[in-house]
Amino acid sequence: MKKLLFLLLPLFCLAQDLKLDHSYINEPDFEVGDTITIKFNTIQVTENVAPNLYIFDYEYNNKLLQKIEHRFKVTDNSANTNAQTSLTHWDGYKYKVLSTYDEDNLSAQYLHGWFNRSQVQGDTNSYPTDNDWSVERITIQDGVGITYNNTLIEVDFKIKDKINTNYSNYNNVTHLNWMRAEDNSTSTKYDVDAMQQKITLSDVEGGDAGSVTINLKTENDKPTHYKYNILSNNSSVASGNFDANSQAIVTGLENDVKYDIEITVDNDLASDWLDDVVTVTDVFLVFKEAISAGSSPSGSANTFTHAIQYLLGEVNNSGNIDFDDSYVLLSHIMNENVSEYFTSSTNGAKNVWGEKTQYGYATDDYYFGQKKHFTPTDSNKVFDFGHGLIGDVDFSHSFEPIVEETQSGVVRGSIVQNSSENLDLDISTSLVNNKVELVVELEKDNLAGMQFVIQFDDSLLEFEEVQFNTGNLLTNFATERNNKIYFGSISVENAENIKTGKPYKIIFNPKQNITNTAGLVYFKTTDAVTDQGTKVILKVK
Amino acid sequence: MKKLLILLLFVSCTTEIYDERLIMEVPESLFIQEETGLKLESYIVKEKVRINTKLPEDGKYRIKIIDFTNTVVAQEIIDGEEGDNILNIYVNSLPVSSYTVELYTRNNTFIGKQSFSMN
Repeated sequence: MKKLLFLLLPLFCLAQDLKLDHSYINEPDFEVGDTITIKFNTIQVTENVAPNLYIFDYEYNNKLLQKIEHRFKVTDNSANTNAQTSLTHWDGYKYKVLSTYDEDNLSAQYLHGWFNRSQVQGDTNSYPTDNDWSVERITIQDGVGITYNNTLIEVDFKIKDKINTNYSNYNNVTHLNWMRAEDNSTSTKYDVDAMQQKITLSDVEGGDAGSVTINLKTENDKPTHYKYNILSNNSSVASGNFDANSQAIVTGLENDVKYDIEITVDNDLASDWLDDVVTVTDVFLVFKEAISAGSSPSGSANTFTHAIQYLLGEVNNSGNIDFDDSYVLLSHIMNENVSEYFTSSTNGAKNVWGEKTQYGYATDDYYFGQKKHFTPTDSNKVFDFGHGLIGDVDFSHSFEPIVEETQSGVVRGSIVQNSSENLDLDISTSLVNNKVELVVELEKDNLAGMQFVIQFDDSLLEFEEVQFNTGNLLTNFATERNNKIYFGSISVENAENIKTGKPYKIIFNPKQNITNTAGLVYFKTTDAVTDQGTKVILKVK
Repeated sequence: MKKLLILLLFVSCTTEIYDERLIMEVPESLFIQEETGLKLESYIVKEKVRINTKLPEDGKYRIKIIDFTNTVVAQEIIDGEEGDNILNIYVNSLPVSSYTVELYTRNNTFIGKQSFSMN
């Protein structure tokens, strides 16, 4: 029996070739606000294993750690001075360990838990959304083996105060998710296990019991582009940007003092997406509201669901929703700015905000529920504020007001967002007679509006034209701006829907010889609306 | 003379027309052992990266570029030939991030995939 065990032991050991480790290099004890540095390195287990490609994912708890910066150290090793490195970052996701393999078997988690996860029945999503976590992917490749034991990369974090979070300690604030280690010249894949898979910070001291948390509520996925400014007696006492977790942790405020708050979009940071706020769905909803309810919110056939849509859709400062508002928004998607009162890259963000439960509901005290102040107390230091943008009546970049509350807590009544439909769409590029053609294929026959924004490689392509085959009564539009093309159609009279088949073909001329077209055109944004005014989420298949 | 006759005989008997194709030279870095598949020349990409799409037969195929949220952000339909096809992925128009490249038949039957990061 003993002999058998000894015989089996080397077989178990052979199952791993190297280990991935990560650990902090600072001396504990730690205090809130301290900066810690976490280093990553590999450890050799099996001789003559020399991978020259590493790709691994790790994640950290962004409620408890705030990333400051990272430094690749692998090129400091004399053997790997020519190594190429890359780090990619995503907020709001957490790796779901594939339970059929050991959590610390990083190569199996890579192959089965991530790379081939789509083949796992009933458990295909390796990265479900989770606001508390951020994921980073590190890629290192070299022409020679990457040396062991030396630091590959260092990442600096600031320790955040756990007050106002759901965490009672700093256990498991990081996690190694998976790793691919390979000799790229021979395609030899190696088995990797985790050494220290999770980092725990023990006995973190300090923390300001008086810190106040402001939570930003928005549909937009760019919370760091939003600024806050807290005022007392019209003087600013604290300001900054929200973090990737849509939070601002503010210190230095006093209990039982009423503070005003301004929440605005940073127009410089947001310049790339401000023109995406108003889309064809907003145009169509405002148009429907204008023809059915006229200029009065009390009309009998309202299209709008929430009162605040009358504020968000009033884009020409007339005080009413009418045809002119839909004309202003239609002009925007056709690349003409005919009003200064709505959100666009030309006008900047037109901000609306208010305390979450009040936001959107007009009272004598608050215009459309824009309660813009808060008072910290000994028992309440967390405040939620909804934010909207003028022009965004479909709430694609705005908080949709709460419509009901239950005993278990507030339930957000996202009527507009939840009523949307999904539609698979075929968009592709091809090289045809030395030109690059992008073709949109459509099977659904009840669309009254569609809009696309594509971005192309203008160092290799020159835009030639858009060919429409949408129908006779539709208003088509196409605009080139920088290296983007905005195109689509809307049935303004609601008399005809977009023709099925191939309604759009965009043609580019290559500026130099190209072998094919993959990656030359990036599908940036899409939007569509049915003839009943339902928003359609387009997914390229 | 005999040799010439034999040559003429051989030529005159050969009526079948052969479709001559250039044999694509596959660099070692893009060599695929399996009968079909996809391989990238580099896993860190700037501007463009060469890829090998090794296909089971002539026909139309899809090359999809997919982001972290599993959204198709670029897609090409190619006219592929059986065997190795050396092509490019151009990345200048893509936001700097990590992506997965996936190869499918025209009817969306999966053939292979690889991932890359930009810097």
